[in-house]
Amino acid sequence: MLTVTETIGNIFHDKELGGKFEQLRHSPKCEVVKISRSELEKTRLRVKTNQGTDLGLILNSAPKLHNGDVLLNSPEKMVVIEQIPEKVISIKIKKLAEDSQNETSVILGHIIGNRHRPIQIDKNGIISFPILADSEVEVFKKLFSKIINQLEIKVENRIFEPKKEMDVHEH
Amino acid sequence: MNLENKMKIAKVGIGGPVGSGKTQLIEMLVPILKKKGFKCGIISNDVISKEDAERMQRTLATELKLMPEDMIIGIATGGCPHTAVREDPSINLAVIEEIEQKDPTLDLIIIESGGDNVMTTFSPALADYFIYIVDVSGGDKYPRKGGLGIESSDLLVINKIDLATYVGANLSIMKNDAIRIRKNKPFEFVNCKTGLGVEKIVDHIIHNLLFDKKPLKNIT
Repeated sequence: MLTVTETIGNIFHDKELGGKFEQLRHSPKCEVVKISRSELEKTRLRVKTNQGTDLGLILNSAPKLHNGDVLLNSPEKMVVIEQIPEKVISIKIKKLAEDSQNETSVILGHIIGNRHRPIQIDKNGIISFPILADSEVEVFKKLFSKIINQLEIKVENRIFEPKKEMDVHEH
Repeated sequence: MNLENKMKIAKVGIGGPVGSGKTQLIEMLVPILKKKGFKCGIISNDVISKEDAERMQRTLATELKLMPEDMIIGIATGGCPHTAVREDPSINLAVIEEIEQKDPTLDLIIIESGGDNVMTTFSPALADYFIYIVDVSGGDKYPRKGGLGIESSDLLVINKIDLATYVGANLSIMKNDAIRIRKNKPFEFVNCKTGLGVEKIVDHIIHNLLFDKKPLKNIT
Protein backbone atom coordinates (compact mmCIF):
# COMPACT_ATOMS: atom_id res chain seq x y z
CA MET A 1 0.00 0.00 0.00
CA LEU A 2 1.24 3.47 -0.90
CA THR A 3 0.52 6.12 1.71
CA VAL A 4 -0.64 9.55 0.56
CA THR A 5 -0.59 12.38 3.11
CA GLU A 6 -1.35 15.33 0.82
CA THR A 7 -2.62 16.14 -2.64
CA ILE A 8 -0.18 17.53 -5.21
CA GLY A 9 -2.56 19.78 -7.16
CA ASN A 10 -5.59 19.60 -9.39
CA ILE A 11 -5.65 18.88 -13.11
CA PHE A 12 -8.41 21.45 -13.64
CA HIS A 13 -6.57 24.26 -11.83
CA ASP A 14 -2.92 23.54 -12.55
CA LYS A 15 -1.99 23.88 -16.22
CA GLU A 16 1.11 21.71 -15.95
CA LEU A 17 -0.72 18.86 -14.20
CA GLY A 18 -3.69 19.23 -16.57
CA GLY A 19 -1.36 19.02 -19.57
CA LYS A 20 0.40 15.97 -18.22
CA PHE A 21 -2.93 14.29 -17.53
CA GLU A 22 -4.15 14.97 -21.07
CA GLN A 23 -0.93 13.51 -22.43
CA LEU A 24 -1.01 10.38 -20.26
CA ARG A 25 -4.72 9.76 -19.70
CA HIS A 26 -4.89 6.79 -22.09
CA SER A 27 -1.52 5.33 -21.13
CA PRO A 28 -0.82 2.81 -18.36
CA LYS A 29 1.17 5.51 -16.56
CA CYS A 30 -2.06 7.30 -15.67
CA GLU A 31 -4.32 5.71 -13.04
CA VAL A 32 -7.69 6.86 -11.81
CA VAL A 33 -9.34 6.46 -8.41
CA LYS A 34 -13.12 6.65 -8.51
CA ILE A 35 -14.45 8.26 -5.34
CA SER A 36 -17.98 9.25 -4.35
CA ARG A 37 -18.78 12.78 -3.18
CA SER A 38 -19.24 11.63 0.40
CA GLU A 39 -15.86 9.87 0.35
CA LEU A 40 -14.20 13.06 -0.90
CA GLU A 41 -14.89 14.52 2.54
CA LYS A 42 -12.81 11.91 4.31
CA THR A 43 -9.27 12.41 5.52
CA ARG A 44 -8.53 8.72 6.01
CA LEU A 45 -9.48 6.34 3.24
CA ARG A 46 -8.17 3.17 1.59
CA VAL A 47 -8.80 2.99 -2.15
CA LYS A 48 -7.68 1.13 -5.27
CA THR A 49 -6.97 2.71 -8.65
CA ASN A 50 -8.40 1.34 -11.91
CA GLN A 51 -5.11 -0.52 -12.29
CA GLY A 52 -5.22 -2.00 -8.81
CA THR A 53 -2.68 0.24 -7.06
CA ASP A 54 -3.50 0.16 -3.35
CA LEU A 55 -3.52 3.63 -1.75
CA GLY A 56 -3.96 4.64 1.88
CA LEU A 57 -4.96 8.28 2.21
CA ILE A 58 -4.08 9.84 5.55
CA LEU A 59 -4.47 13.56 5.07
CA ASN A 60 -2.99 15.61 7.88
CA SER A 61 -5.64 18.27 7.90
CA ALA A 62 -9.13 18.35 6.45
CA PRO A 63 -8.96 19.99 3.06
CA LYS A 64 -11.71 18.22 1.16
CA LEU A 65 -10.60 16.13 -1.77
CA HIS A 66 -11.85 17.26 -5.15
CA ASN A 67 -12.54 15.83 -8.57
CA GLY A 68 -9.25 16.07 -10.48
CA ASP A 69 -6.95 16.11 -7.44
CA VAL A 70 -3.58 14.47 -8.12
CA LEU A 71 -2.54 11.94 -5.46
CA LEU A 72 0.71 10.74 -7.03
CA ASN A 73 2.86 12.40 -9.65
CA SER A 74 6.15 10.77 -10.63
CA PRO A 75 7.77 10.04 -13.98
CA GLU A 76 6.39 6.49 -13.73
CA LYS A 77 2.92 7.16 -12.43
CA MET A 78 0.20 9.76 -12.17
CA VAL A 79 -2.85 9.02 -9.98
CA VAL A 80 -5.89 11.29 -10.28
CA ILE A 81 -9.24 11.37 -8.45
CA GLU A 82 -12.32 10.96 -10.59
CA GLN A 83 -15.52 11.79 -8.73
CA ILE A 84 -18.39 9.35 -9.30
CA PRO A 85 -21.42 10.95 -11.00
CA GLU A 86 -24.72 11.00 -9.09
CA LYS A 87 -28.39 11.87 -9.61
CA VAL A 88 -28.97 15.59 -9.59
CA ILE A 89 -32.01 17.86 -10.09
CA SER A 90 -31.10 20.98 -12.08
CA ILE A 91 -33.43 23.97 -12.09
CA LYS A 92 -33.47 27.05 -14.26
CA ILE A 93 -35.79 29.88 -13.21
CA LYS A 94 -37.60 31.17 -16.28
CA LYS A 95 -37.29 34.85 -17.19
CA LEU A 96 -39.81 36.71 -15.02
CA ALA A 97 -40.52 40.26 -13.87
CA GLU A 98 -38.01 41.26 -11.16
CA ASP A 99 -40.46 40.95 -8.24
CA SER A 100 -41.64 37.51 -9.31
CA GLN A 101 -38.06 36.43 -9.98
CA ASN A 102 -37.00 37.35 -6.44
CA GLU A 103 -40.00 35.67 -4.86
CA THR A 104 -39.52 32.48 -6.87
CA SER A 105 -35.82 32.38 -5.99
CA VAL A 106 -36.51 32.78 -2.28
CA ILE A 107 -39.24 30.11 -2.26
CA LEU A 108 -37.02 27.74 -4.23
CA GLY A 109 -34.09 28.31 -1.87
CA HIS A 110 -36.35 27.85 1.14
CA ILE A 111 -37.66 24.50 -0.13
CA ILE A 112 -34.23 23.13 -1.03
CA GLY A 113 -32.76 24.39 2.25
CA ASN A 114 -35.59 22.78 4.19
CA ARG A 115 -34.49 19.45 2.75
CA HIS A 116 -30.90 20.10 3.85
CA ARG A 117 -29.39 19.69 0.38
CA PRO A 118 -26.09 21.14 -0.72
CA ILE A 119 -26.44 23.22 -3.88
CA GLN A 120 -24.40 24.14 -6.91
CA ILE A 121 -25.05 27.29 -8.96
CA ASP A 122 -23.39 27.44 -12.37
CA LYS A 123 -22.38 30.54 -14.29
CA ASN A 124 -25.76 30.59 -16.05
CA GLY A 125 -27.60 30.64 -12.73
CA ILE A 126 -28.77 27.03 -12.97
CA ILE A 127 -29.27 25.64 -9.48
CA SER A 128 -28.70 21.95 -8.85
CA PHE A 129 -28.82 19.63 -5.87
CA PRO A 130 -28.37 15.87 -5.38
CA ILE A 131 -31.14 13.33 -4.89
CA LEU A 132 -30.88 9.79 -3.62
CA ALA A 133 -33.53 8.18 -5.80
CA ASP A 134 -35.87 8.88 -8.73
CA SER A 135 -38.78 8.87 -6.27
CA GLU A 136 -37.49 12.19 -4.95
CA VAL A 137 -38.18 13.90 -8.28
CA GLU A 138 -41.92 13.60 -7.67
CA VAL A 139 -41.50 14.78 -4.07
CA PHE A 140 -39.68 17.91 -5.16
CA LYS A 141 -42.15 18.60 -7.98
CA LYS A 142 -44.92 18.53 -5.37
CA LEU A 143 -42.96 20.80 -3.05
CA PHE A 144 -42.36 23.21 -5.95
CA SER A 145 -46.02 23.05 -7.06
CA LYS A 146 -46.74 26.76 -6.39
CA ILE A 147 -43.81 27.91 -8.53
CA ILE A 148 -43.40 24.98 -10.90
CA ASN A 149 -44.64 26.94 -13.92
CA GLN A 150 -41.72 29.31 -13.42
CA LEU A 151 -39.13 26.54 -13.41
CA GLU A 152 -37.40 24.37 -15.98
CA ILE A 153 -36.51 21.12 -14.20
CA LYS A 154 -34.07 18.49 -15.43
CA VAL A 155 -32.80 15.29 -13.85
CA GLU A 156 -29.21 14.41 -14.68
CA ASN A 157 -26.56 11.91 -13.71
CA ARG A 158 -23.36 13.89 -13.32
CA ILE A 159 -20.57 15.02 -11.06
CA PHE A 160 -21.95 17.28 -8.36
CA GLU A 161 -19.58 19.80 -6.83
CA PRO A 162 -21.33 21.77 -4.07
CA LYS A 163 -20.91 25.49 -3.75
CA LYS A 164 -18.47 25.77 -0.86
CA GLU A 165 -20.54 27.82 1.55
CA MET A 166 -23.71 25.88 0.66
CA ASP A 167 -22.36 22.41 1.37
CA VAL A 168 -24.54 21.31 4.25
CA HIS A 169 -25.08 17.87 5.71
CA GLU A 170 -27.76 15.75 4.05
CA HIS A 171 -30.48 13.48 5.33
CA MET B 1 -12.34 24.46 18.29
CA ASN B 2 -10.11 23.60 15.35
CA LEU B 3 -11.93 20.72 13.67
CA GLU B 4 -9.06 20.09 11.28
CA ASN B 5 -6.54 18.72 13.73
CA LYS B 6 -8.61 15.96 15.22
CA MET B 7 -7.52 13.23 12.88
CA LYS B 8 -4.63 11.70 14.79
CA ILE B 9 -6.18 8.45 15.94
CA ALA B 10 -8.31 6.43 13.48
CA LYS B 11 -12.00 6.62 14.27
CA VAL B 12 -14.83 4.28 13.42
CA GLY B 13 -18.45 5.39 13.77
CA ILE B 14 -21.15 2.81 14.46
CA GLY B 15 -24.76 3.80 13.81
CA GLY B 16 -28.06 2.02 13.45
CA PRO B 17 -31.62 1.81 14.74
CA VAL B 18 -32.47 1.36 18.43
CA GLY B 19 -31.87 -2.27 19.46
CA SER B 20 -29.98 -3.24 16.30
CA GLY B 21 -26.93 -4.30 18.32
CA LYS B 22 -24.51 -1.35 18.24
CA THR B 23 -23.36 -1.78 21.84
CA GLN B 24 -23.19 -5.55 21.57
CA LEU B 25 -21.13 -5.27 18.39
CA ILE B 26 -18.61 -3.06 20.22
CA GLU B 27 -18.54 -5.54 23.11
CA MET B 28 -17.62 -8.23 20.58
CA LEU B 29 -15.15 -6.14 18.56
CA VAL B 30 -13.02 -4.85 21.43
CA PRO B 31 -11.86 -8.26 22.80
CA ILE B 32 -10.83 -9.40 19.30
CA LEU B 33 -9.00 -6.13 18.58
CA LYS B 34 -7.35 -6.32 22.01
CA LYS B 35 -6.19 -9.88 21.33
CA LYS B 36 -4.56 -8.64 18.13
CA GLY B 37 -2.81 -5.91 20.14
CA PHE B 38 -4.98 -2.89 19.25
CA LYS B 39 -5.89 -0.42 22.00
CA CYS B 40 -9.31 1.19 21.77
CA GLY B 41 -11.19 4.07 23.32
CA ILE B 42 -14.98 4.23 23.18
CA ILE B 43 -17.48 7.08 23.05
CA SER B 44 -21.12 6.10 23.42
CA ASN B 45 -23.76 8.64 22.44
CA ASP B 46 -27.31 8.39 23.69
CA VAL B 47 -30.21 10.79 23.94
CA ILE B 48 -30.82 11.02 27.68
CA SER B 49 -29.12 8.18 29.53
CA LYS B 50 -25.55 6.90 29.60
CA GLU B 51 -26.74 3.33 30.00
CA ASP B 52 -24.77 1.87 27.10
CA ALA B 53 -21.52 3.51 28.23
CA GLU B 54 -22.06 2.28 31.79
CA ARG B 55 -22.78 -1.21 30.49
CA MET B 56 -19.52 -1.26 28.51
CA GLN B 57 -17.60 0.11 31.48
CA ARG B 58 -18.94 -2.88 33.39
CA THR B 59 -18.38 -5.52 30.69
CA LEU B 60 -15.21 -4.34 28.94
CA ALA B 61 -13.42 -2.57 31.81
CA THR B 62 -14.53 -4.08 35.12
CA GLU B 63 -15.28 -7.67 34.11
CA LEU B 64 -12.94 -8.32 31.17
CA LYS B 65 -10.29 -5.74 32.15
CA LEU B 66 -9.66 -4.94 28.48
CA MET B 67 -9.38 -1.20 28.96
CA PRO B 68 -9.49 1.44 31.69
CA GLU B 69 -12.96 2.58 32.64
CA ASP B 70 -12.14 6.20 31.75
CA MET B 71 -11.51 5.18 28.15
CA ILE B 72 -15.24 4.52 27.79
CA ILE B 73 -17.08 7.82 27.81
CA GLY B 74 -20.84 8.34 27.64
CA ILE B 75 -22.41 11.41 26.07
CA ALA B 76 -26.07 12.23 26.67
CA THR B 77 -26.76 14.32 23.59
CA GLY B 78 -30.15 15.56 24.70
CA GLY B 79 -31.49 15.82 21.16
CA CYS B 80 -31.97 13.70 18.07
CA PRO B 81 -29.08 11.22 18.18
CA HIS B 82 -27.81 12.02 14.68
CA THR B 83 -27.26 15.69 15.47
CA ALA B 84 -24.29 14.93 17.72
CA VAL B 85 -22.51 12.74 15.17
CA ARG B 86 -23.40 14.56 11.98
CA GLU B 87 -24.68 18.16 12.07
CA ASP B 88 -22.70 19.37 15.06
CA PRO B 89 -20.12 16.82 16.22
CA SER B 90 -18.31 19.37 18.42
CA ILE B 91 -19.11 17.62 21.72
CA ASN B 92 -17.78 14.33 20.33
CA LEU B 93 -14.68 16.09 18.95
CA ALA B 94 -14.05 17.61 22.38
CA VAL B 95 -14.25 14.17 23.99
CA ILE B 96 -11.92 12.75 21.33
CA GLU B 97 -9.40 15.46 22.19
CA GLU B 98 -9.71 14.47 25.84
CA ILE B 99 -9.15 10.79 25.03
CA GLU B 100 -6.19 11.58 22.74
CA GLN B 101 -4.55 13.58 25.52
CA LYS B 102 -5.14 10.82 28.08
CA ASP B 103 -3.67 8.12 25.85
CA PRO B 104 -1.98 9.11 22.58
CA THR B 105 -0.97 5.46 22.01
CA LEU B 106 -4.53 4.37 21.20
CA ASP B 107 -4.94 2.70 17.80
CA LEU B 108 -8.64 3.29 17.44
CA ILE B 109 -11.55 5.27 18.84
CA ILE B 110 -14.99 3.68 18.45
CA ILE B 111 -17.88 6.15 18.40
CA GLU B 112 -21.35 4.73 18.95
CA SER B 113 -24.28 6.83 17.79
CA GLY B 114 -27.56 6.83 19.63
CA GLY B 115 -30.22 4.64 18.00
CA ASP B 116 -31.59 6.44 14.98
CA ASN B 117 -33.28 6.00 11.61
CA VAL B 118 -31.99 4.73 8.25
CA MET B 119 -30.70 8.16 7.25
CA THR B 120 -28.01 8.18 9.95
CA THR B 121 -24.53 9.13 8.79
CA PHE B 122 -21.43 10.37 10.57
CA SER B 123 -19.76 13.68 9.87
CA PRO B 124 -16.49 12.96 8.04
CA ALA B 125 -14.89 15.33 10.57
CA LEU B 126 -15.77 12.78 13.25
CA ALA B 127 -15.52 9.26 11.79
CA ASP B 128 -13.08 7.97 9.18
CA TYR B 129 -15.03 4.73 8.70
CA PHE B 130 -18.76 4.27 9.13
CA ILE B 131 -20.43 0.99 10.05
CA TYR B 132 -24.21 0.87 9.83
CA ILE B 133 -25.90 -2.00 11.66
CA VAL B 134 -29.45 -3.29 11.25
CA ASP B 135 -31.01 -6.53 12.43
CA VAL B 136 -33.25 -9.07 10.77
CA SER B 137 -36.14 -8.58 13.19
CA GLY B 138 -37.19 -5.49 11.22
CA GLY B 139 -37.88 -7.82 8.28
CA ASP B 140 -35.95 -8.73 5.14
CA LYS B 141 -37.11 -5.50 3.46
CA TYR B 142 -34.46 -3.50 5.35
CA PRO B 143 -31.57 -3.47 2.84
CA ARG B 144 -33.71 -2.86 -0.26
CA LYS B 145 -35.49 0.11 1.31
CA GLY B 146 -32.16 1.92 1.23
CA GLY B 147 -31.44 5.20 3.01
CA LEU B 148 -28.14 6.95 3.58
CA GLY B 149 -26.96 4.61 6.35
CA ILE B 150 -27.65 1.45 4.36
CA GLU B 151 -26.38 2.83 1.06
CA SER B 152 -23.48 5.08 1.96
CA SER B 153 -21.92 3.39 5.00
CA ASP B 154 -18.49 1.87 4.48
CA LEU B 155 -19.74 -1.41 5.89
CA LEU B 156 -23.30 -2.65 6.39
CA VAL B 157 -23.73 -5.19 9.19
CA ILE B 158 -26.87 -7.32 9.37
CA ASN B 159 -27.22 -8.66 12.91
CA LYS B 160 -29.27 -11.29 14.76
CA ILE B 161 -29.28 -13.75 11.86
CA ASP B 162 -30.22 -16.48 14.35
CA LEU B 163 -33.66 -14.83 14.60
CA ALA B 164 -34.33 -14.89 10.86
CA THR B 165 -36.40 -18.08 10.87
CA TYR B 166 -38.49 -16.87 13.81
CA VAL B 167 -39.46 -13.56 12.18
CA GLY B 168 -39.80 -14.87 8.62
CA ALA B 169 -36.81 -12.92 7.30
CA ASN B 170 -35.18 -14.45 4.24
CA LEU B 171 -31.40 -13.96 4.42
CA SER B 172 -30.98 -14.68 0.69
CA ILE B 173 -33.30 -11.79 -0.11
CA MET B 174 -31.36 -9.54 2.24
CA LYS B 175 -28.09 -10.64 0.67
CA ASN B 176 -29.26 -10.02 -2.91
CA ASP B 177 -30.80 -6.65 -2.02
CA ALA B 178 -27.65 -5.58 -0.17
CA ILE B 179 -25.50 -6.50 -3.20
CA ARG B 180 -27.79 -4.54 -5.51
CA ILE B 181 -28.28 -1.43 -3.40
CA ARG B 182 -24.71 -1.12 -2.11
CA LYS B 183 -23.10 -1.89 -5.46
CA ASN B 184 -19.48 -2.77 -4.62
CA LYS B 185 -19.58 -1.83 -0.97
CA PRO B 186 -19.23 -4.63 1.58
CA PHE B 187 -21.78 -6.05 4.00
CA GLU B 188 -21.63 -8.86 6.53
CA PHE B 189 -24.13 -11.07 8.35
CA VAL B 190 -23.41 -11.50 12.06
CA ASN B 191 -24.81 -12.77 15.31
CA CYS B 192 -23.43 -10.47 17.97
CA LYS B 193 -24.80 -12.70 20.74
CA THR B 194 -22.49 -15.56 19.77
CA GLY B 195 -19.83 -13.60 17.91
CA LEU B 196 -20.53 -15.34 14.61
CA GLY B 197 -19.14 -13.22 11.79
CA VAL B 198 -17.66 -10.52 14.05
CA GLU B 199 -14.08 -11.50 13.15
CA LYS B 200 -14.87 -10.37 9.60
CA ILE B 201 -15.91 -6.94 10.87
CA VAL B 202 -12.56 -6.69 12.65
CA ASP B 203 -10.81 -7.62 9.39
CA HIS B 204 -12.63 -4.81 7.57
CA ILE B 205 -11.60 -2.31 10.25
CA ILE B 206 -7.96 -3.43 10.26
CA HIS B 207 -7.71 -3.43 6.47
CA ASN B 208 -9.75 -0.37 5.48
CA LEU B 209 -9.26 1.91 8.48
CA LEU B 210 -5.99 0.85 10.09
CA PHE B 211 -4.43 0.00 6.70
CA ASP B 212 -3.14 -3.36 7.96
CA LYS B 213 -0.69 -1.54 10.22
CA LYS B 214 0.64 -3.16 13.35
CA PRO B 215 -0.72 -1.90 16.68
CA LEU B 216 0.98 1.34 17.74
CA LYS B 217 2.54 -0.21 20.86
CA ASN B 218 4.45 -2.62 18.62
CA ILE B 219 6.06 0.10 16.52
CA THR B 220 6.71 2.84 19.07
